[in-house]
Amino acid sequence: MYLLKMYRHFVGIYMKGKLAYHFSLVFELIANTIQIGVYFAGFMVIFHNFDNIAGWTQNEVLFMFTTSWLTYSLSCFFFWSPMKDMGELIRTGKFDLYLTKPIGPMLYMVLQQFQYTFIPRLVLSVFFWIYSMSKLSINWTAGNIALYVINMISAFVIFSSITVFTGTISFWTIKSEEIVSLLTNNNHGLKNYTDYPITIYGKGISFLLTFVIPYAFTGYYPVGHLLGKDLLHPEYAYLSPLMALIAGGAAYLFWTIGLRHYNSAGA
Amino acid sequence: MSIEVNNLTKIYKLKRHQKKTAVNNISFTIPTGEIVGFIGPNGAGKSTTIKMMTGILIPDKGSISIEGLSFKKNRKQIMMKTGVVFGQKSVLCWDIPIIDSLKLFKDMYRVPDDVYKENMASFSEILGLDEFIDQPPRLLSLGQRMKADLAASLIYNPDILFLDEPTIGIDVLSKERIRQFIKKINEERHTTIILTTHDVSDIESLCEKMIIIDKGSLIYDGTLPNLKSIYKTTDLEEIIKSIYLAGEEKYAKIC
Amino acid sequence: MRKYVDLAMIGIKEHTAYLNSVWANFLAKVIYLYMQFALWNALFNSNSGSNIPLSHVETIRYIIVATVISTFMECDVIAWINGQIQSGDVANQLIRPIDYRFMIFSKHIGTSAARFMMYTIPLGILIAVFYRGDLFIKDQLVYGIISILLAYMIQFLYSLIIGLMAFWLIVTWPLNMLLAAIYKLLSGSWIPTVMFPELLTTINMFLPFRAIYAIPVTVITTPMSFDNICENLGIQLIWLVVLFSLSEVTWIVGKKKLVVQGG
Repeated sequence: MYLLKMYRHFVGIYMKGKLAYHFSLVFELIANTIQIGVYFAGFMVIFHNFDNIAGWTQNEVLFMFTTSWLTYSLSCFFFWSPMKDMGELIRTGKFDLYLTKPIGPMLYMVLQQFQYTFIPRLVLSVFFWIYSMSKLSINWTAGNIALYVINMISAFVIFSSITVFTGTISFWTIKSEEIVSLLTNNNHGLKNYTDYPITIYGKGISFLLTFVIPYAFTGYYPVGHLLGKDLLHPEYAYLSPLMALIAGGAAYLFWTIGLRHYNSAGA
Repeated sequence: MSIEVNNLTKIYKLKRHQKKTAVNNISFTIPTGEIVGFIGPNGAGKSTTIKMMTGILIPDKGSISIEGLSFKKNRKQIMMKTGVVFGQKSVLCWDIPIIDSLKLFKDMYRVPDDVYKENMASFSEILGLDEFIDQPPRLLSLGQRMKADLAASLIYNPDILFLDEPTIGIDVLSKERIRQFIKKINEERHTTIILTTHDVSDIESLCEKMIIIDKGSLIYDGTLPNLKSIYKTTDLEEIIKSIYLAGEEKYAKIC
Repeated sequence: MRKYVDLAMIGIKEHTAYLNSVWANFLAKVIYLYMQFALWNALFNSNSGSNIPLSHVETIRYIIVATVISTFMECDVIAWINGQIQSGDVANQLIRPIDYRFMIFSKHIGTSAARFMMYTIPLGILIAVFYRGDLFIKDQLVYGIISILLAYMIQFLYSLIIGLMAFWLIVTWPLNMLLAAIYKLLSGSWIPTVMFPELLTTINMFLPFRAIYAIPVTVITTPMSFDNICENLGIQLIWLVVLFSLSEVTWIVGKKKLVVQGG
């Protein structure tokens, strides 16, 4: 209750601050909409020329990556901005201020902002998610729905864990921005690899996206299974919750170690 | 709340197995309700000590006990009762009116309505907070911002207040107001106040006690009049200068 | 002349100063190139349609060359100019005895030279090791290089114009982000422009973006007649003239605004 109340209060203030420059807020949202829109446009252009990729039709691929993008946008509302700013916070010493608060630093940073710039991505994802779903005839049994929902929650945890991991690196190197960019940049980020079935890459990359940076569990395995695709490892479709648990635990542990390192070494 | 620091030591690991002892075996006690001036030249280990006392850094050796509580076990409890004001780093949200930040802290530290109202009235009276409470920090002068920051850290009636360079870059009149305010808070609420500063007049007008640190070691822990009687002068600036100078020449010792 | 060389050297030095981000930038290029390579390979392997405007080999050549060119074509000109206008530093630059635009251009050339050494050559070596087969049409290479040089100029003038927009805007980054997205698609650095549907192709006819990537890359990687080459270079020349005139106008009007505001 206390945290919920704090979150409402924090976000209210955060948005009030942003609305002080409403002109720039609107501009940011428009720019983000166009950026994401252009990506979808490019996707459409590719499938204007081709029927399928590795046996997946346009709508199947679309359904797969919008499922993943949905949870990614939701995760980024909370974790993206604090973790991206970690390096900056440590450099300027502002992180010290969070350590003197009665709320833990991670919780404090998550609560005190709301990364609204991911709204356009969420909205466009939902749009194309519904569009692709309407074009596909998915067998929505109760079991499938339950599995799909569980996988969405798992995907949220996986994305958040990866983001927390990248931010935590700042405790040692201070330059986590580059790693965040290597993973999530809209042009060259590794995350973009999972917008397509991972079978199109070599074995090493598939392994990387499955076990090291488990992006494949946010879309490819669970959605591929739902769509009845020929998967690399069909049994992995049930592993998303386990992966989420491992990723979440590892991220929590890593953050704790990072924080302890900061507590003992300073910046 | 009183603070007890015992055999505090902090060693930084530098590159290639080099170590630097930032704080070396420091012990002191600050009783409840005292205002202590915490001084030392740049790089003396002053801010490392403060960081350990505020729970930002964990000491390598020694302990800090705040009214019997330790950071390891009672972190949240201590934080609820501690106020920290860094002169260079504001806790206020840059783009939103001061009043909103204060309300946020009211909720965060679970301040009852009547206490909040009472505090706001007293902040307005001494600091003139009501004059700029509806403006965001980005539109305020440095002095106003510091007053707002002080208010934000005192709205929840902390028992301990850490003030790090609270008067840096602030004009004479605002400085005077801020000092009056700190003094009043201390008298009325018996708040223990730890003040680090390079401004001698801050210490002259506020502190009964002084703790001086140089090269990681405690070199003085006592009252201001006592220090003056040792050096046989009332010019504090002269005293501090000679202490720092002695420190540079490596035979710092008083008493 | 000497002062411009000096400025170019500054550009090189500034760029190499952040050596620790070099590996990250390079890795980003490799990640991007591999994704493109795998994507287009898979697309051609899973489709045997004859209505695809480019062949498999041509497409792979196209995306490799486009990525290689991007390593030195990309620039920070927009950010520099934005920054200098917003900090008011541009006023200090104006009183110097050098033309502001030439100054930026010299610095840009220096940066490109640094990028060429740090990214283009290593990436080229990497490709030479892993990709067997020709990347360019030998007979058209000379025209290809001319086309790249023209594209480089067009890219600079475009960045100059967008950078100078800071004279009118309070916040510039949303505009930059928006244009970067459009640029990525319409320039053809991501998807070959010949694959665009009709509507997009028509829109693109009236925009300069394709003159920066699609034209030089096509001239290098796709066999075409001499007339066709001339036509492509002609389009680039026209855009060069148009953008040059536009940048002149933007500069003159923008400078007036600066004088009126007093910097």
